[in-house]
Amino acid sequence: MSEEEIRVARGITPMHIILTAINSGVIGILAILGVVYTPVLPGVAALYPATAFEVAFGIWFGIWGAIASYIGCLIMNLYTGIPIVLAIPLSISDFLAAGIPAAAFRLAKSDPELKTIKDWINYIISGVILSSVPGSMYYMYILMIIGWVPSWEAYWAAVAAWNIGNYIVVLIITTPMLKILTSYVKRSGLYVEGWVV
Amino acid sequence: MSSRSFLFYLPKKSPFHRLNPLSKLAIVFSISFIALIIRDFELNFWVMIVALLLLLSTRVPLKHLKTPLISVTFMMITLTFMYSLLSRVPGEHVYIVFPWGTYFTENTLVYGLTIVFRVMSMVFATLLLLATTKDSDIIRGLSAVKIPYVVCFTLSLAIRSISMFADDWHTILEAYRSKGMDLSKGSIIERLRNYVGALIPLVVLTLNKVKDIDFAAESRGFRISGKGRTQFEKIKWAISDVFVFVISILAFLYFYLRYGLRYSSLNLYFITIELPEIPRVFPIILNYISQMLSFLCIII
Repeated sequence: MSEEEIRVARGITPMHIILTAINSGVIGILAILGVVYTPVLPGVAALYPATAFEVAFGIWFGIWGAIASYIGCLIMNLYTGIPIVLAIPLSISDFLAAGIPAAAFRLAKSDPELKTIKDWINYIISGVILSSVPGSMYYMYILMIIGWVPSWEAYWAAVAAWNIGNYIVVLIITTPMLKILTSYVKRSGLYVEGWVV
Repeated sequence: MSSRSFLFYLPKKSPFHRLNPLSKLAIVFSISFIALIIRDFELNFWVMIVALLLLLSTRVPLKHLKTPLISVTFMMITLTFMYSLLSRVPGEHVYIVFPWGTYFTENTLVYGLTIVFRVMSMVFATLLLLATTKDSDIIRGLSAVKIPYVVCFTLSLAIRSISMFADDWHTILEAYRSKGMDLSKGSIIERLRNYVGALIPLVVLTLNKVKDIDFAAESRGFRISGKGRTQFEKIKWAISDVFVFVISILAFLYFYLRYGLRYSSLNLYFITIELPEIPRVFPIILNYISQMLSFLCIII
């Protein structure tokens, strides 16, 4: 049995849970830094460095990266004064930010080290552009329902600001992270090749 | 049990500190849902005042809560600004029509402030829980309502790891500064690029910690299911806890039925419960003020 087969046969192990929890902490602290220093709307930052990690963790760790993004965002929301009843649904936006590139990389079987043009195209589309679009639209829509975003003009302005900020952060931070650290992550035995294991 | 907390817990002697986390969760959910249900300016104002008084009664100084309060204050200003420029609140008099199609009426500010009061009520309620409850007690409360062990464990470890990584992040930044590098110089893009160099060691440290903790957990026979685990401390229900829990639920039900579903009475099998509307005092106060002003004008 190869090492890969043993890993898959073991299924979900404590390592996955610990990985999720620890990654949540990293995302949480970076999300808090973004929202406290560059606040725009409740839980929304002009520059949100956590999203760079969410994309990378989603690509490296699959569903565990996405869950870590959810928990990290939940903690940030609570820390910055977002009520619990709103923090729980709002944090789904960050789950999507990690979940979309995670799904795209697994479906297209792209290499996170970005070795080929196909990998780069997949990364630019799913990791940079698409990762933040549904999450930002969903988050702002929830804020609109409860009256924190007063009109569609404000909605689209906030969605645009969110996405532009995230594109910059992901391009500048996630790209070198993937290029430099993917081989290390693979060697460490923490890399999740499939969706779950 | 350590009282160290990443969130806002501060040990004090107040009735709220003595309540069990489930009763406090009931208060938070009750106030938050009430604030979401009611749309009235005055009622939202009073709900906010009640939430603020409850928060002040915990004796936790507001300066201890400055991070969320500053952040929320900034957001409230943004919200008022957005309502002034980007809303379409209907009214009898339209004072300004903006080129992008939104307008400002006599109801714009009132509606905007209603939303602000609503947000503040929810924030104060959440801070009430976080300032009086240890992180570990919140997790214990979740465990008591049968949230799976794996979820509670993950949340608990996540909250603990935040303090850990805040320290690591600080150490990395200090190491950079000791080399004479100032990461905060330059444009935003340049600063982000500078920070990449500091974030990479943070990721490496993170992954090493995952392996260390995983090794420690597995060597102690840790199981994800949590089967067979016992707890050192369990949630206890005192009379005060039951009282607060029941009052919170009843308050939520009243507001939901009276202001959510607009029932004026509730017919049960044997009895009819009247649901009286809460009297408003703002019109009386405004009337009194206008009479006083008229009186002053006449005198002058």
